[in-house]
Amino acid sequence: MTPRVLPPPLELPPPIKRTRRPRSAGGSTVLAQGEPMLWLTAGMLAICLMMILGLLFLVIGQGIQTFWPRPIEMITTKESTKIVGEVDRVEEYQPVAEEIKNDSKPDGVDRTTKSTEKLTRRRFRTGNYALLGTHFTWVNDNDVEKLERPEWAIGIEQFEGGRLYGLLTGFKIDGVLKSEDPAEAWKVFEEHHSKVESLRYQRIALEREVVGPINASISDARRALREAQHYFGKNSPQARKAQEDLASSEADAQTRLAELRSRIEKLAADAGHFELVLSTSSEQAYSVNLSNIVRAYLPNQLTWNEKLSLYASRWWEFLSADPREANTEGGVFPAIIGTMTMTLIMSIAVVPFGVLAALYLKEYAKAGLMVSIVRIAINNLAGVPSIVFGVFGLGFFVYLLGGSIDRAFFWSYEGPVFGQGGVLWASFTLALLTLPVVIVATEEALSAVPNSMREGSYACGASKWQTIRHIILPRAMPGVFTGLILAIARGAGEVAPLMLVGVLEHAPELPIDGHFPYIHPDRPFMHLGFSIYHSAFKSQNSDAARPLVFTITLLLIVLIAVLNLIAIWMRSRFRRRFTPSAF
Amino acid sequence: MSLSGKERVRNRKTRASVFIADRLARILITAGGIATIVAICAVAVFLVAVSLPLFLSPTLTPDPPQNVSVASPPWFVLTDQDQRLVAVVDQSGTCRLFELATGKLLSESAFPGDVKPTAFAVSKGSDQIAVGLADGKIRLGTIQFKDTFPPEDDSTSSLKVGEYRVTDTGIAVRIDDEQIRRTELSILWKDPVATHRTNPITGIDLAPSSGGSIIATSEDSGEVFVHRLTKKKDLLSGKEATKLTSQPVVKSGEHPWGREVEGLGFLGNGSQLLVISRPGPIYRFDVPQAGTPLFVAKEEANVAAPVSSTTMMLGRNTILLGHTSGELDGEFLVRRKESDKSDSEQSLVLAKHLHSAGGSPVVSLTSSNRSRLAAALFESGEISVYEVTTGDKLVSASLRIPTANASMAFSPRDDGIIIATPTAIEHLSLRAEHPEATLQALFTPIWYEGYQGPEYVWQSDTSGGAEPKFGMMPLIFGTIKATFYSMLFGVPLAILAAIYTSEFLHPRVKARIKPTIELMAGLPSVVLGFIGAMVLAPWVAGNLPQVLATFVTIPVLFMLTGHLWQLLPTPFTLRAQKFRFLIALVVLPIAVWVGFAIGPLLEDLLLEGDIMLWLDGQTGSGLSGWIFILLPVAIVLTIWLENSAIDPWLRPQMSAMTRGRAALVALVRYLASLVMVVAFAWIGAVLFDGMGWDPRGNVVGTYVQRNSLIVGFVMGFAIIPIIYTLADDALSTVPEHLRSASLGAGATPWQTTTWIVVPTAMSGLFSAVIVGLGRAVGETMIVLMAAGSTPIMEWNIFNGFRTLSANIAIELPEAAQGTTHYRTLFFAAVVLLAFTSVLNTIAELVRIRFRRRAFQL
Repeated sequence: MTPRVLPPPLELPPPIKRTRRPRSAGGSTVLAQGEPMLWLTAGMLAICLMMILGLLFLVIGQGIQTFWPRPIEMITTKESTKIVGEVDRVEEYQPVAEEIKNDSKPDGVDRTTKSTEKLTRRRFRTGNYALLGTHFTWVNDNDVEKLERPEWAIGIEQFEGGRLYGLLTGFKIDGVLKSEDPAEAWKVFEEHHSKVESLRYQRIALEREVVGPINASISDARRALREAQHYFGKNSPQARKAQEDLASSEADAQTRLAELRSRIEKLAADAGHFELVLSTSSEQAYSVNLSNIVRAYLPNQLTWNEKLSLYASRWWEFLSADPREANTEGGVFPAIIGTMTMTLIMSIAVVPFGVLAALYLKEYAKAGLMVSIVRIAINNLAGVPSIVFGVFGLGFFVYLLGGSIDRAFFWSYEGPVFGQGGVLWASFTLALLTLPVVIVATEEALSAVPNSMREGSYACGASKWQTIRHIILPRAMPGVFTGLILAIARGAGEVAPLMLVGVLEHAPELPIDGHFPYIHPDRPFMHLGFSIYHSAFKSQNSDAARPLVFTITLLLIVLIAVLNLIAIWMRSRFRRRFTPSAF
Repeated sequence: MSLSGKERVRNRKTRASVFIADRLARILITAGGIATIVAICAVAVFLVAVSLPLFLSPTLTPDPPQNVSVASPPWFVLTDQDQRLVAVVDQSGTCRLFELATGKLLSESAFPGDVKPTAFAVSKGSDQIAVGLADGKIRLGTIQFKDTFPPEDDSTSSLKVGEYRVTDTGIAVRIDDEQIRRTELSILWKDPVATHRTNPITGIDLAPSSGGSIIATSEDSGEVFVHRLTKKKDLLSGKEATKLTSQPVVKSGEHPWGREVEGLGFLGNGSQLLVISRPGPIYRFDVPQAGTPLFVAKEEANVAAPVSSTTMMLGRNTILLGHTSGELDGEFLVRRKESDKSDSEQSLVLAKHLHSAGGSPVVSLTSSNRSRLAAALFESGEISVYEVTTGDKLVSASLRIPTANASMAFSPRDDGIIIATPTAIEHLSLRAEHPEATLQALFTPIWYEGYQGPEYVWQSDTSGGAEPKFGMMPLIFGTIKATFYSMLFGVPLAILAAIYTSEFLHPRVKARIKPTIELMAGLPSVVLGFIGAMVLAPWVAGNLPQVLATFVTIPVLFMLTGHLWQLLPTPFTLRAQKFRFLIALVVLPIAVWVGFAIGPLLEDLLLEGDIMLWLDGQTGSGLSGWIFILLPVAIVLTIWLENSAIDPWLRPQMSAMTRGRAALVALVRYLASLVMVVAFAWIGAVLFDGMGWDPRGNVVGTYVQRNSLIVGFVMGFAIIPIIYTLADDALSTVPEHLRSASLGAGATPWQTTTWIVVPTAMSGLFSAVIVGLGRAVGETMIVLMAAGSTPIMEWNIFNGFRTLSANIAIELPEAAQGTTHYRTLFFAAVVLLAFTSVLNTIAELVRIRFRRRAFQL
């Protein structure tokens, strides 16, 4: 045993003398806690929240009051002119010097002298565009002599010609003034309006139901002629026969149209006996035919119940009727149908392809660089501007594909059939646009199916397809569904690409109707989002259309919010069901 | 042995159908999946394929020349739209019609009357011609190829589609099953109109003008006259009579050009006349509707060599001058100064140098009737085609026939050039489908007609013979501007909000607030655009100072609240912490109210009481604008100063104080720094103003209702939720143990956030910003509605712009398929696609990297 030799003890360095820093009295935490910055971040969140809530409140608030009947007020100004209408805005403004010194500004506002005193002015929606040439009149409070709400003020929504506001003064029958008593005139209106209205609907139905088929039969005959000439030669008996058919169907159409015209004229004459007489802002007596009245009401006499029912009837008209007055009045029914049809076709197109691609990526493709690149590419496409898809849709679907289809199958038609923008191409464009959404959502859902379930299935001897079909797909279905709804929510709100591939401000025919083959994928269509753009920007009278645009906006937002909420709900449900499962 | 007694045989073999189904599913899913992915990628390929023809280089291929005999040198040559016929008018006025493919003479029509024609002019863009005669009279007429669609007859019924038959007067071609098109030469000569001159006319030009046409003639002596032809209906006979009024441009014998008149040319609609003298100088006259022409200016020659050939471009604004030195240049009038409206302040500038000196002399020049193409024939036999707008030489070829006395013309569709000499005609096929769109034309400044210099312009409207201007820079600029201002507004808001949400908000509250803000992402952009343009824009226009003040008061007040909060006793603040967000929600309206209160005060104090006039540059100086603009710089400066100079000194002092005292000191420090910020900004403003710089006309300027401020704010609605969600996700993925460690080491939550969480999540935050950027770049409806849609390049935040995407939405529905305009718009889509793809790929790569790192931690 050799004694273990201990190594000499290491020379330890002298211990560092730690000087304790003086204990903080608490003051240093003030800077460290960064309260001001913390508050700044909280404030930014508050702004974000307020932005969205403010916007929603604005849209909801403006949107729901569009149809509420407002009182009609009458102002007598100091120059004793009368202005009748709904007050739709009251604001304070800086009054300008009486005489406009500085006329360099187009609005004539003198900016050189500025008094501190503010005045109120109110804007009257005066209607009667045909008479007054303007929709709105500003009235300064200083100029008001008398402001009243006349009992017999009447608001009339005309079928053609916009709104009328005035004082009901009497009625005419066949152009002869029968009475100057407003009460009597109102009685006449209530008595006869429903009948006259039904006559008008009959007339419209006649025009729509009869004229369309007549035109269709003529164009069919023309097409038959063209086809006969093409297949059998110009002077063949078939071509001659087609020629004769065309002539006969044209003659037939002429007689039917003449008959129709006389029926329509009779209906119009039947409906046109009564006229209401009102005195308007310009103090002219103005008579309006009962058959041109969509709705008339005496807002200053309405009870709450009547107001409610008027409100409801306007909503119903909004949801169920065709637009009038270049989309500034009436309903958005065609736009609702158009949006729905497009969304439906889009969903049918997007789901199978999205699921196929996701299944391939997740279950079949070998994970590697290629799949990563593809995944990045798909994620990229989710971020590609929608207008780019619109450009693609126009160039590829409409011009290339549609044009080729037309040349191959519809060469005998007069105009382009698929070679123009239509609901099918719009749906396909949006399907392409939303495909990444569905693929990503489906992939996510497939990933959420635990591997143990797959392995279990294989262990039981199931084939890959059996596993997918019976184990994976059912579990992933809610995810697929979420993807679809997210796609729908995105698709329903897109407008920019649709402007290129088939949306119209006024489509004469619905993409779905009662004529064979019921769904017409080649037809251009109307869309809620585009209606907003068009009514707000392209119509001649965008200021008067504003309330309606708010209501359309409300409708669209509600639609999209509902879809989004469903998606969020589905997602949370589906996550709860599968992620923490005990496999 | 089973209990039933029967042997149960288990089928151990998998049924074949299972295999088949499995195989089938594999094939179907693989094929379908790959096809879908390929289809998506095909979007990019298709867009590129459509826009690619823009950049194909043009070709010019000579066809074999045909020997023909024309009695005298040709004045004028014309071809039909299919380039099968050629009409040649020679100096005797005789018009001969040839078939191009064979050179066969089809018909010949002599010039009416017995007076010899001596000068000849065609009105650009129409079929009107004017001939000056040896007796000083003028004969007007038209020569054109006319198409008729007669019913079939025996001679044409055997034709197949596309085949044609030559007749004496022209050709008949079958264009489809039903129709035959007959193309015939139509020559119409009117009676000669007498002028008061009797000398032979040696030069002539003709332009359509209001109520008739205007003609300029020159004589051998060098005298130049302007004749105005007006049609008048005789009330008695009902006959139309032409009335001619003639005016000499200068008094006889006083013309400065002597006898050296090379050419005459009307500008525009005939309001100005150019007399091009052979040595070079050009004399410009104003031609009023009535009265004598007025000498305006002598434009000195821009090129030293004598002029040998001239032609006007379509629209009559650009004159092409070919010189004996081989130089070729395009010149047009520009105003010397922007403000001057009078003609005398204009001058002719050499804007396009198409061909430089050193070659053989230019023999003949011609320009297209439908585009900005021009062709020049040189003595050497070389023929070159130019795009005059871009100034590019597109292509050139060599003629096989001698060039002496040649006359040439573009075919009606610009797909060929025809050259006629007294002995031969030669045809060249030209393929230049989109000569006006080159990368250079799209992305560099181009000197357009009437502009003072090269500029970036987008103006696809070509009505009235205007040049199409496909400069994409204004659109790209608009896109960048929209993106910049919306990011400026959106990024700080979204990132800070995400930091608070992720780090300080109670999870239960977060579960409510996050989906609400995500709801904002689902808002259709058309709704945002509508709100922005119809509600926000008018409102902001009425409350601009208030709104601008609010941008300052909101952050200031929030931070002030933080300082006040510190003053409160700690036990209370600790307990009340969970109400911080609620209190913030209350402070926000207060801050807005303060902003609205001080806005008008600031307006009165700094901006002479009216911000609109101030922005317009009518009142006040640039000082107050600089203060506002320099605020961010001043803030940075102040923070830097505090960090480097004040805090190191203050910190030890503060740690010796009680909390309450320290909070008070912090408040004082904050208020002092506010004063410092304003002081710095003011000093900077005085400095800049003293140097004579004015921010107006640069980053601020005349207020337009629909502007970048509105777009920035409204686009915020679109990008904030995206950035916010992604940023919050990134921050939430930072592992909890990092936070715990930091807090355990004694760091405050705020220190943990700034020093641990945010740096760890930095790449995630970055990718969130990039994704938001991608969205802002491509956003269409908001900018379409709220940005005013004028393609201008100005950084002014109060002015509008037009983005690539909005431009596509506006113009593509009207662009005819296959045109340059159409393809340029497709190219714009490619640019958008490429830009967003690059951004998204960067974001995706960064995100992947971040995720990997976050999991490693």
